[in-house]
Parts: sequence; C-alpha cells; structure tokens
Amino acid sequence: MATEASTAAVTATVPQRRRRKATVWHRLLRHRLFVTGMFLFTLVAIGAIFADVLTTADPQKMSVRTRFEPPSLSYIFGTDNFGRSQWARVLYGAQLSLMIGLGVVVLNAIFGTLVGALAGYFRSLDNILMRIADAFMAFPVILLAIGITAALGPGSINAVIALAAVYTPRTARIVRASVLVAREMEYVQAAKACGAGDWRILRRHILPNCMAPLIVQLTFIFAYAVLSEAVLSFLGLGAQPPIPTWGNIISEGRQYIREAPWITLIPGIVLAATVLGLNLLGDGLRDVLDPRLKVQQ
Amino acid sequence: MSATLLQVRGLTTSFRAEAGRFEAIKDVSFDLGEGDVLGIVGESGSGKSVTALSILGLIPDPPGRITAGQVLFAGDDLLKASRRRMRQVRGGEIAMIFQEPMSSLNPVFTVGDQIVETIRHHERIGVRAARARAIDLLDRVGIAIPAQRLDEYPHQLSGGMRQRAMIAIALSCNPSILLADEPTTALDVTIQAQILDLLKDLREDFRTAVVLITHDLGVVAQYVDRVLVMYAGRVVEEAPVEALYASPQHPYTEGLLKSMPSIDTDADRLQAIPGTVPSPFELPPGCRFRPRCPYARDACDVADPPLLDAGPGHAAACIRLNDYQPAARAGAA
Repeated sequence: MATEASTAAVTATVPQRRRRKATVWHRLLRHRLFVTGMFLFTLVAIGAIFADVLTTADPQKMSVRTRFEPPSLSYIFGTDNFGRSQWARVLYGAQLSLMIGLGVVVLNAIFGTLVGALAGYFRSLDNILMRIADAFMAFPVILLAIGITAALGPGSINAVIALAAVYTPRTARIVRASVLVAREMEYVQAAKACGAGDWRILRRHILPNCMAPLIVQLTFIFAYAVLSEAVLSFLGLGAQPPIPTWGNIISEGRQYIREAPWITLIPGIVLAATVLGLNLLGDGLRDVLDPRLKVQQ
Repeated sequence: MSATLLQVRGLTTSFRAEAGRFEAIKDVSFDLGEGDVLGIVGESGSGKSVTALSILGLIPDPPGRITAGQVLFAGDDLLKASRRRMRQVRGGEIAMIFQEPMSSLNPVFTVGDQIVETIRHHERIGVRAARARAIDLLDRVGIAIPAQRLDEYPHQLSGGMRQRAMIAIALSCNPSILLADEPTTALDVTIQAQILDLLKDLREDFRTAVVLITHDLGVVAQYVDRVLVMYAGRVVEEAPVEALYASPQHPYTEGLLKSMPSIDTDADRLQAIPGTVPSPFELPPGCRFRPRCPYARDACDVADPPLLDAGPGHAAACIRLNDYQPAARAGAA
C-alpha cells in the first residue's frame, strides 16, 4: 500500500519535472518578438550554412557580359559592376559575417566572463580592472576598432580581435554586476561554511547564477559585431576584396548606387534583418530569463 | 559535561564603518562539550551571528577583523589556522546552517548535486557512493522519497524541506559541531518544532554538539542545555537553562523573561524593556545596559563589569552580584 503510493507519486512527478524544464522554451515560443527574431536570424543562418547548396555560382567569378543585371529569375539579386552574382556574394558574405560575429561572441564571452568574475569576486582587483575597462569604453566603439585593425593590419581575423577587444569591457561590466549580487547570496556563504575555496565558489556557485544576463548580452554583442564588421569592411579594414562580406559589397556598390541600387540595397537589407533578428532574439531572451521583468506579450 | 570540544576565549571582532571601527562582539568566551546544546540568545545586532561566523573565520575582511581571542578546537587555534586547514574544518568538522533556507541553497543545482559536492570536497569518495550517502542523509533528516528529491531543484522544495536539505548538507561529513544560526526563524511554527526535534534527534544519534543561535526564548527552554545571553556584543549572562529561567541574574535577562507572555497571568500589556540597544558607536561608559536598567546606580557608570560567579555554571555581568564594587576596586589598584 505504502509502496504503491510512493511509486504513484514518482510516476506522477516525472512528467511534471519535464514540463518545468520545457517552460523556458514554451515561454520563448509564445513570445512573438522572439519568434520573429528567431525566424529572421534562422533565415540568414540557413543561407550562410547552405551557401554552396543554394547557389552554384562562384561569388568571385566576373563576367563582362552580365554586368549590372537587375534582379531577375536568372539572377535573383542581380549582378554587380563586375558581373558577379549578387545572390552568391550575399550568401557567402553571410557566411563570413556570421563567422566573424560568432568569433567575437566566443572571445567576448571568455574574456568578458573572466575579467568580470575576477573584478566582481576579488574586490582588490575590481578598481584596476574596471578602470582599464572604463578607459576602453571612453572611445567610440568604431573608432577604437578602426584603431586596433589599423595597428594589426586589415583582415577578418584581426577584425575579430579588434571587435572582441572593443566589446569585452561591456560584457565584463555586466558579468561583474551579476557577480556582485551573487556573491552576497546566502548560498555562497553556505558554500564557504561547507569549506569551499574561492575558485570552487566562483565556478560552481556564482558564475552559473550569472548566466541569464550574460546570454542576453551575448546576443546583442553578436548583433553589434555583425554590424561593426560590416562597417570595418566597408571602410576597407575587414576582409579584403574580392572576398565578399556585406560591408565590402556595399562599399563596392556605392559608386553605382544610382544606376544599380540593388548592389547596395540588398546586402543592406539582409544586414539590417540580421541585426534586427538578433536584437529581437535578445529582447525575447531577456524577457523570459529575467524573472524581474515579467513582461506581458 | 563531557569532553570539551571547542573553547572560545575572549573573542573580539570589529568592523570598520564610515564612522570608524566598532566592536561587534567583545570578549566572548564559552566552552562547548561533546553532544552539548548551547543556546545563544539576544536581540538583533547583539552579535550572535558574528560570533558563529568568527568561529569559522567567515567574517568578511574588510570590513571585519577578529582583533583578539582564541578559538581552540582539536588542539588548534582556529584563528591562526591556515586557509587550507580552515577549509577542512568548515563543513568537515564544524558545519553551519543558516537562517534563510530559501536562499541558502544554490538555485541552479539540484539538492543532490550540492550534497554530493560537499561530501566529495571533504572525502575521497566516488560519485555513486556519495549519492548513496546523500540519499541516506535526506532520509535521515526526514525527507520523503529521498531518491527522487535528490534530483530536484531547491525551488521545487518547500521551506521546511529546504531547511532539512541544508541540515543534510551540514551533516554530510559528520561534523562534531553544528552551528545553527536561527535555523527556524523563517519557518512556520509547526515546521519549526519539527526542525528542532530533528536537531535534537541528530544530536542524540551522532553526538553532534549544537550551537543554537536564536532570539526565541521558548525554543531555548525546550531544546537547549546551557544558554549564553548576549547584549550589545557582550555575553551578559551564562547559565544552565533551568537556572536561567529560575533565577536570572542579569537585569537584561530578567527583562527578556518578563517580556514573555505567561499563560498563568492575564496581562493586557506585555512588559517591555524600556529604551533600545545602544548604537555600537555610542556605548555608554561603564555597563552597556545601564541606560535601560531598572537597578542602575552610580557605580554602574564606572566600568563594564566582567562575568561574575552566580552559582554553579552560572555567571552574569552585573555589579549587583557578590557586592562587586568597581569603584573600590579601581581605588585599590
């Protein structure tokens, strides 16, 4: 009788637990803006990932006969001043842009978390680290990124390094703020009373509790990185032509904006859609992950 | 009393604040024997929690610092012990449970993870064996279906269950001393009684000595052997629990006991101690309780009296005891 009751209780609570785990997803899927953002971003991501399936054209193959073809059935996005397929160039550009964005996000997550955690947890380091961060943040983002790429030389790897360096202090601040809150929680003191050392406390008890704002921040950093990368390559400091990136394409098409507006317009729209998508995604994550902001959708 | 486990001598902890340093606890001394239950009572800010945290070296520095005293445990002075040794002591030999079971468990890990982590931190033991022990512990502290609760997150447990889980974590390494900092304050009355009974049972089963910090004199009367009464950072009275209730020697203790409603008398108003606890920056000269004391006399202004003998195992810091004459003593010296 008693065992019957307890097994009944066990079977009753298992699906309940599964449901709880699923709630974050469910709430995200009910968030209309998140779904819109997810849709936009997934569209671009699919284009980037399956670029060589979606087009057979070589994004760098020139053809004098097909210069300035407006968008049509044979050239979906038209062609540019060298007769290259814009469709292929935008898709391969997406590949590079998203890779660079991802690289920035990864570096940013690693160093931002490291610096933020050290500053927030070891109070003696706080002042030094945060003043250095302030110094970085005193420069306008693009200016600093231009400065760093100018020093390192143009190229996509250097663009990643420059953008990661520019955005790291911002992430570090956010991580630091959450660490400052988490380190005063009672479970941290309880962990100390159980004999845990500083690193264990930081790794096991503080950082996992700082993840929600970090994840949200990283989606925004992804958006900024994609946008800034476009700016850098527009200015000729990112990947070098003829490698297609959205910035390069817009930069090259700029001279023909009157005659062939699609050259600049299409990558511009795609870029805007990507950034918009990521921002909506980030807003949705923030609404769902931050319990203090229970926004009704 | 059985073999002494812990001796606290003259423990003084000060904090730095905007207005200067102040002593949160001053000259706190007590002994704790194997299987003893010592109650520390006092109102908020009297230094109860600071005493417990000081013993484990958990006072945040800065702003806090232990400025004097000794904490003798297993032949060591814990105040001089290495960080490494302290990490062994904490949780392994002296464990602590906190007031807020809601926030004392890490919300992102399951209860089982947290118990297993503590066990494995102190002992070389496999995850499987640690889990088995965790299940055993949860069962021990009265959690039903422990094998399933092990994989639940703190937010899935009720307040009482969380406090039980905290106790399970505290007991996971068989500590010889358990510091319980107001373990029942955040719980409702029936759960309170259950948790306190649990602590009592555990003390009988494991011979764990318990320091029970509370401001509830009812709890003290029921569960404690000996009591330390703290006021404004000092121990003002120390007594076996019966003696304390039968004949409180310090006017503060007397006031506390009087302010408890009694079932025998029909009182419309409860008696209160007039005044408030002095700010640690504005301690009166002489006895700290003087401004609120019904027995105050001029001699009280001269010096803060030490603990004076008031019977077997009973002492209080009041000059009315033994005709203590601080003025005469100062004159003689």
